[in-house]
Amino acid sequence: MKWLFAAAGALIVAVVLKQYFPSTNPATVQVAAAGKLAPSFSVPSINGSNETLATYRGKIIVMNLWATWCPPCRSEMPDLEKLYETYRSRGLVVIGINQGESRQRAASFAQSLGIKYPIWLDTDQQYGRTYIAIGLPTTVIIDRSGKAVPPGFDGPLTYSQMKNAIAPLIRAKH
Amino acid sequence: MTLFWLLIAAATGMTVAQDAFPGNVLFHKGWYNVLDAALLAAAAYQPRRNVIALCGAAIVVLAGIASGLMGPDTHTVVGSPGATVSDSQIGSAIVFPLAQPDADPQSVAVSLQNGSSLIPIGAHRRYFGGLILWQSPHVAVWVTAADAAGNRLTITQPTNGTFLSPVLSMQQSTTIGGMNVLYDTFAVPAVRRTVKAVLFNAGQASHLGNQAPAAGTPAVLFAVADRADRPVPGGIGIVPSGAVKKIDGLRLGARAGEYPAANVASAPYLPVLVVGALVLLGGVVRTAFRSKT
Repeated sequence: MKWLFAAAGALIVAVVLKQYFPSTNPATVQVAAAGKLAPSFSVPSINGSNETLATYRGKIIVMNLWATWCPPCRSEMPDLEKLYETYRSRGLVVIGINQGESRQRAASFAQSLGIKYPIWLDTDQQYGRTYIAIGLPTTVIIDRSGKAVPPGFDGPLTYSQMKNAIAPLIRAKH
Repeated sequence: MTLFWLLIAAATGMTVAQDAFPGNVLFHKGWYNVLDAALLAAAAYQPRRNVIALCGAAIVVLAGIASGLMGPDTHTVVGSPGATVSDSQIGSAIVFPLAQPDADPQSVAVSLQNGSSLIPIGAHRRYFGGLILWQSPHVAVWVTAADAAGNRLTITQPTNGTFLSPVLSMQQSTTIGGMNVLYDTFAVPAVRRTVKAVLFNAGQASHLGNQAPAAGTPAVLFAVADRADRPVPGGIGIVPSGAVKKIDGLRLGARAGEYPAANVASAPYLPVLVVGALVLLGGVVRTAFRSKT
């Protein structure tokens, strides 16, 4: 009988103590939306149409957050354009989401670099906030089912890094 | 009522208080928890004691002491609309939904991220393991920046966890002219400027002399500095909430509002508390039954 009481007591102590030792690693939470349906907001494009990520479901999306004042953004945009031109026939789309700037500024900048992939205007910086961009550029890859693929990329990517990041998704069956 | 029952009532009452008044710093003091344990120990040494009730009280007090000594300190998690803020003390993250400045903060539900599911917190207390969470309104200022031609510019907050947010959480305070005011800082990288935004609530703004906005309207003082944090000439201006003003070639706008923050307090783990209370009740019933027979 004494053993039974001791075991019950130990169980209660263990249950109580477990509540105050968090088991989740907070660092893993930082990967915004990783593995989940990517948050999507309706924002205008530089062409004037309203766009959301949700309408691109079924495609592999390379979402690149950028701004005209950000030199590393400028340096990786030609490689993003090359990626778009190379893989668009295989269901890949690159979307450049400008953070907080005007249509005129973003459009003339994209034109000067010969960018053909869609450029959206996130005037309220909703995507930047939601995807926990800790700097610019930030790149998030979204699979055909609309889920953000971890990890997100903070800082500019080289062309080979971009290719490596999308390779498993390109290889995967539809 | 014997001394035993008084001691049991006091010891369990000190734990129940942690659930009834969550967030009080008193509950994390060492002496509070030592006193709670001492009351229970004193009850255990009483000659006329009820062992079942004592066991029940011990379970309740254990839950209280574990919460008081090992639970996270009471704190408030403030985030920008749209941000996900991880909190090492609770080992999880708080998700702040997007909201406009005119949204009612009571209708905006901040959530706790538990694995892949989101648990809305709401204005009422929500138990989550050994935690109690509830949300309360917090001051926030939505800012906009544009160049002289009216072209919108990116706003960043290099010192904030939410780098790309145009919503300032106003978590710092200072005293200006005898008034305690909240302030925050943001950057406009396209023009290499940093801007300090000081919020005067409606009452404080009425003391701003000829710069005072219409009665009942808060105002934001913008102080523009260069990258080296040197104030720029003509870089100070006061903008009524909801308005835009040209300062140092920038068109700066501000809208003061409220947005919920999440409060986190530790609490005795409720299921264990219930088990302890039931055992204690069993002891009380047994005593009552014995005294009748």
